[in-house]
Amino acid sequence: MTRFLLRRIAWLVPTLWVVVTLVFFLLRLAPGGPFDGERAVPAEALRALEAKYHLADPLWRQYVDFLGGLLHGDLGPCFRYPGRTVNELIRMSLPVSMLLGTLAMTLALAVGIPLGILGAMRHNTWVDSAAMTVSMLGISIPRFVLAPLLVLFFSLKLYWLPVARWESWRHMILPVVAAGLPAAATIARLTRAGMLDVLKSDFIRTAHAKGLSERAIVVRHALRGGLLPVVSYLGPGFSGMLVGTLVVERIFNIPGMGRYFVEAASNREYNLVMGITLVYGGLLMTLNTLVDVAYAWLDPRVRLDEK
Amino acid sequence: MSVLPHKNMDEPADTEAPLGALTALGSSLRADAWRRLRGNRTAVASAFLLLLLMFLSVVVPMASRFRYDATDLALGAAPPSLAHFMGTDALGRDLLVRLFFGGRISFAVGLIATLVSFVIGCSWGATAGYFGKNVDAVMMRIVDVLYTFPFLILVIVLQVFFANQGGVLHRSFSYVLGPLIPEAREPSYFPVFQIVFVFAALGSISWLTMARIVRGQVLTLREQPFVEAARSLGVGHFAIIFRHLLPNALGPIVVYTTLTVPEIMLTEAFLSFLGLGTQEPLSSWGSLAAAGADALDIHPWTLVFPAAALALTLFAFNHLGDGLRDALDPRTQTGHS
Amino acid sequence: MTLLAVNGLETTFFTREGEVRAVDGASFTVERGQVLCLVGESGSGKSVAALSILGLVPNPPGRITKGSILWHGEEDLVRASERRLRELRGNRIAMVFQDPMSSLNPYLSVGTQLIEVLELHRGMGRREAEKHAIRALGEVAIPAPESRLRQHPHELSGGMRQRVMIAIALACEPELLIADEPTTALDVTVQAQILDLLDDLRQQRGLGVLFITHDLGVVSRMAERVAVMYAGRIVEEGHVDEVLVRPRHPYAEALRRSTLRLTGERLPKLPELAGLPPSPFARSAGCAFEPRCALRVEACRSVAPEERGLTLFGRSHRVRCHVVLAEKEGG
Repeated sequence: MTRFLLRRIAWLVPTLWVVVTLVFFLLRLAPGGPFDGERAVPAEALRALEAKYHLADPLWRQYVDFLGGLLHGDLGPCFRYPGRTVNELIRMSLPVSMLLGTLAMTLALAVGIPLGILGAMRHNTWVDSAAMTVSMLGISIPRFVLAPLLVLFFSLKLYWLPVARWESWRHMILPVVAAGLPAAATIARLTRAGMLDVLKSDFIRTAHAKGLSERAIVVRHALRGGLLPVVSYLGPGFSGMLVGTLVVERIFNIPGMGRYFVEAASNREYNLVMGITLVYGGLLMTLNTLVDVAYAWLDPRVRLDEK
Repeated sequence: MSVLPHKNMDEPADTEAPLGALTALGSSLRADAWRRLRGNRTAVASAFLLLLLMFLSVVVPMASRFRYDATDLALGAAPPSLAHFMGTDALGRDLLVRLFFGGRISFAVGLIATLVSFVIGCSWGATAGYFGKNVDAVMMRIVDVLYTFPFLILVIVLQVFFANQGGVLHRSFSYVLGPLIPEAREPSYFPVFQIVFVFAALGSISWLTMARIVRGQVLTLREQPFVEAARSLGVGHFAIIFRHLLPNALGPIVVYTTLTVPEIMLTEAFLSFLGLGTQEPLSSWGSLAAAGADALDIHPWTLVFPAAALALTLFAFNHLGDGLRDALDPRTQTGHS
Repeated sequence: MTLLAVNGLETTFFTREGEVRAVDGASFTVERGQVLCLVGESGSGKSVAALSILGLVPNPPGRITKGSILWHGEEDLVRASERRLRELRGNRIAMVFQDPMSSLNPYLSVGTQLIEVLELHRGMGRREAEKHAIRALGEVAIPAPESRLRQHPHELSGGMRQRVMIAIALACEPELLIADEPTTALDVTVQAQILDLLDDLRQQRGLGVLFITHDLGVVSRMAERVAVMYAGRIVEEGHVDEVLVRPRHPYAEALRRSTLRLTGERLPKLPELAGLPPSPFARSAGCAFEPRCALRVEACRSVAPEERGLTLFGRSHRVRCHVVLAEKEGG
C-alpha cells in the first residue's frame, strides 16, 4: 500500500511533465499570439508587451523559464488580467469548482447507487423499467439542455431558486443538480448491471442457503462486488465531471475555473492554460490513485503492489 | 472410478464429430445472439428509429424547398407552422431542414469518430495485450498519460492550429481536393474542414477506453489453446492478432462501439456548445440545441426539436448497445440456474 | 427417525421457450444419521430437487408445482413461509455446493462468512462467535484456524475452501446436510479427505446427509441408500448394495456398466447406452428412458411406469419400470 502510493507519486511528476511539455509546445506552435485580438495593438506596444512577458525569447528559453518558475510554484503572470498572477486566479477559482464538482459527484452517488440497487432487486418489474428509463433519459440529455430547463422551471416559472451566481446554498442547488444528474444516471446503470451480475453468483446462493435475509444479502454480500463497476467508472467519471462543471459554470455564471478554461486556450493565454492543465492533470491523477485504492479495498483479490 | 463416467453419460456416444460440432456450436451461438437481439423489442425499435433518422437526414435536406443556410430576416423566429413544420430560428432559417442537415453531421461525427477510435483502440489494445510484458507496460502507460491529458486543450489548440483560414489543414485539403472539387478552394468550404477536424480530434481521444477493453479481452484469450496452436503452425503475430484474437473478442468490442457513438455525439454537442464544434452556418444537433438553449424562454421550439432529436438518437444507441450486450452475453439475462 | 420426507415433488421452470419440469414427481426420505445418495447425470434434476427442499429455486422462473416436503414428519416446507425457511436454512438444514471456488464470497474474509451464521442463528456476540468459529474450523481439520479467520477465499486452496464451506454449513450443528457434488471440483486425494470428514461428522453427530453426485465411486463409499434419478424422476431407490451391484432398472444398470468399463473389468457384450437424455421440453407420456432403453416394450412408449415397492433381503427397494415389475410379478 505504502509502496503503491510512493510509486504513484513518483509517476505523477514525470507524467505531468510530459503533459505539460506537450501542451506548452503545442500552444506556442499554434499560429497567433496572446495579443492579437479584436483590435490591432500598435507594433511599438506589442513589442513592449512581448519583451515584458519574454514572448520574443527563443522557444527553448521560454520553456526553461517556465519550468524554472514551476519549480518555485510560480506559474507566471496573466496577460489578459494585468496585475493578476495565474496563481491568484487559480487560488480564487479552484475551490469554487472543487466544491461544485464534489457536491455534484456526491449527489450523483447518493441518487445513482440506490436507484441502481432498486432496479437490480426488482429486476424485470415495472420499478426496474421505470428506474432505467429515467436514467437512460438522464444519459441522453446534455447538461447544457438540462440546465436551462431547470432554470426555466424552478427559477423563471416557480421563482423558487435563483437563476445564476454562486453566493448562498440556494444558488448551489440548480448547478449541482445540473452537473450531478447525468452522472447519477450513469452510476445507476452501472450499479444495476454490477448488482445483477453479482446477484447471479454462486456465493449469493450460498448466502441464501445460510438463511440470511434479502436485505442482509444485498448489503453484506452483493454490494461490494456490485459497486466495483461504479468505482472503476469514477476515474473517467471525475474527468467527465470536470467537463460537466465547465458547462454548468458557464450557464450559471459561476466564478470557477471552467470559465477561464476555454477563454484562456482560445486567447493563447499561455501561462493560464499551463496552470489549468497542471491543476486538472494533477487532480485527475490523484483521484485515479484514490479510485485504485478504493478498488483494492473493496476487492481483496486485487493487490496494489503488483503490476 | 472417478468423475469420468459422468463425461460418458453427458456426451453423445459418437466421439468422431467434436470438430464439426464445435464449429456448428460457434455459428449457432451467433445465430442465437441474432435471434435474441431480434426478440428484444426495444433494441429492434431503436435500430429502426436510427435508420429512419439517418434516412431522413439524407433525404429531407434534398427534398425540402428551403436550404439549410437560407435566411429570412423579415420572418425571424417563427413558431411551427404549415410552411415550416418545426418553425424557424432567429435568422428565419427553416428548422426542419437545419435539423436534418445537422443530423448528417451529427451521425457522421459519431460514426466516423467511432470508426477512428475502433481502429486505433483495437490495434493498440490487442497489440499490448498480445505481446504483454514490457510492450504492454509501455503502451498502457501511454494510455494512462493520455487519460490525464486535458483533451479540451488538445481540441482547442489543434483547432486553432489547423483550422485557421490558410492554416495547415485548410491548405492541405484544398491541395488534395482542389483538382477534384474546385469549390474546395473556396472559403465557404472552410467549416467542412473544421468538421473533419472535429472527427479526428474526437476519435483520437475516445480510443483509450476501447484499447483498455480490448487489451483485457486479449490478455485472457491469448492463454487459450487455439493461439498456441496457431503459433505452432507458424502463423505470424499480425495474423494471430487480427485473424484469431480480435474476432474472438468481438462481443464486448461491438457493445462498447455501439455505446461510443452516443458518447461522441454528446461530446460533439458539448464542443458545439462551447463554440468549438460545428460552426455556423452548418448545423449539428448539438449546435442547434446549444443555440436553442440560449433562447429557451422566447422561442422554446428552437431547443425542443434538436434536443429531442439528439436525446432520441442517444437513447436509441444506448438501448441498442444494451440489447447487443444481452444478446451476445446470455448470462446477463434472467438466469435459469 | 425420519428427518425429511419428500413426496411426489414437482418443480417446474416457466421459461419463454416453454415449461420445463426439472423434478417430475420425485419421492425420497432421509433418516437421522443416514446418507442418501442422489445419483444421476447432469440435468437429471437432482440439484433442483435439493434446492427445492430449502426453497432456493430461483423464482421466477422456477416454482414447486406439486408435492410435499415434510420436515420431521409434520411440517411441510413447500407451504412454509419464507421467514420460517430462513430460520431453518443454515441452521437446521445446511447446504454445501459443488464449486468451492465460487460458492464463497470473494470479497469477505473467511471469518466474516463463518461468524455471520452464528450471529444470525445462535444470537452470539462477535467475541463468542469468533471463538466458536475457530473451533468450527478446527473440526473440519483446518490447520491454524485462528489465522484463517482473517484470510480471504482466494488465499486458500480448493480443498481448504470446501472445508470452510463445510465448517460454515455445520457451524450451527444442523440435523440435515445437503451436499451438492461437494467433491466434484476437487482432486482425488482432497476428495477422499473431505468424504472421510463428512462420514466422521455423520457418525459423531447423527447428521442426516443428502449427498448428490454422479460419481458411483463416491456413492459406494458414502451411501447407505441410493436413489437414481433420470429426467426428473427417481427410477430406482434402495440399499447401496442392491442398486450398485444388482441394479434392476435398465438405466441404473447402464450407469453401473459405464463405471465398470472404466475400471477395466471385462463384461459380456451388451448393448451400450446410446443417445441423449430427452429434451426437457418434450417429455413423452411414457417412460422417459424408453428411447434409449434396450428392454423397452410397447407399453413403455405410452404409459409412464408407476413407482413400485419391493422388499429385497428385508430392505425396501423401489423401481419405476414396466419390464422389471412385470418380470417380478410374472416370476
